[in-house]
Amino acid sequence: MNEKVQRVLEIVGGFKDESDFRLECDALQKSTGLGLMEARAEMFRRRVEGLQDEIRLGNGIEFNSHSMRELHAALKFLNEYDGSYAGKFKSFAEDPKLNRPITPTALNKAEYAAMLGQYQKKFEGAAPPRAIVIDSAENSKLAATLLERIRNDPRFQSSTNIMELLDKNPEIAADFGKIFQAQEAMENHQKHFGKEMKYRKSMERLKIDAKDSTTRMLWGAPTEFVKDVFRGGIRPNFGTFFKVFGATAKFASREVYAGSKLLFSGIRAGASYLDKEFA
Amino acid sequence: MPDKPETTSDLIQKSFLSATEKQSLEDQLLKDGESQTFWSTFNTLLSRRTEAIGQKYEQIIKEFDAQTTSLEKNLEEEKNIALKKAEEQLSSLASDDLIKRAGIWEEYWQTIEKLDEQYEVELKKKVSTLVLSASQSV
Repeated sequence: MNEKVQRVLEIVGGFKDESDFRLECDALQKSTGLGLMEARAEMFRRRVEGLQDEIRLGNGIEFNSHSMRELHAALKFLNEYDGSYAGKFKSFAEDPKLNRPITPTALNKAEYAAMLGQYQKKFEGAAPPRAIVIDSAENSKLAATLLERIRNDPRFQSSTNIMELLDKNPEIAADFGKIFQAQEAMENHQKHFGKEMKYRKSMERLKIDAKDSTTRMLWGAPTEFVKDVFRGGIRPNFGTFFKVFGATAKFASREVYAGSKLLFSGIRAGASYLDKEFA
Repeated sequence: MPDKPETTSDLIQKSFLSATEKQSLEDQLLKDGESQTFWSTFNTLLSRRTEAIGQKYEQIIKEFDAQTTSLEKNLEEEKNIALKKAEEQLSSLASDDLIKRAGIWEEYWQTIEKLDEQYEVELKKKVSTLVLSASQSV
């Protein structure tokens, strides 16, 4: 098939990342003289290393990790554009015969701080409880430890056909499955915390709206009257009334609506005017 | 009545005073004209009425704040209990036992969601009370 046509078909079919991997493999093959399968195996190892680099430099897997997406794209391409490998590898991870226990080293301060920073960046400075940040950082570290085990495995290092390697050595595929489970666990925390934050915001909005309605109900008529006084031709001396009105307007604007855009404009304008009049 | 109060009588009628207070002012205006006593009475009535509204306003807003703060405190306490329960369950599991760990966290997040929903129901009740109090004061 013509290269350009294949590229377009891949992109249209939603396989852009897989197509990128294929092109990188082709380029590697041309530049090194490796066989097709060897070049693909070598490029896959580079993807594993890329994810390891991301984890090492950022002290953990990034939210929406680009390297993790690239790893998935490589596996999907090698599995003939079929995403079923992920479910299969995860089921291997749950199989006691294939699951090889692993204990990552204890979390360090920098790894915890990096995970906390990611939450704060994504959720406008907010973060879930410490235990959840720790769990996310531990999952990230578990994934890093599993990647290290895979990369150091001589079978992985010497493989010239990754899918064949994973078929014949399902315990290695189980390690990938566990990495995906760790990634899912991190994503679940983000999803649920995001939902909780959205909920909190909507409740804050409800409180502000309720206070706004209350202000309108109680202060609508007095505010309109103040406007009428200044609109009309008569300028009576209502000094005491204006002072009392101004004090309440300040309460409304400073106490009730601090930080809110929903300031009752009439009252705010009245308070500002009266501030100048009775300064 | 014109949009802009053209006369003192317009101003009385446009005020937020009670019908009785308005009538009393109209009577005084008719009797004494726009005397200093008349304006002083008008000013006093407006001030008293505004003070009363202001006190009621502060009272219901502060009550609402106290009630919602208490609701939020309870919510946080309940969430902390759920978190402690999850942490206890997780403490006996290996860090790579991801399936069991995921199950515990899922239960935790479902509890959080339920607590948030309960909080919303309670908050809406408080909001209704607030709005009702305000409407009864008008």
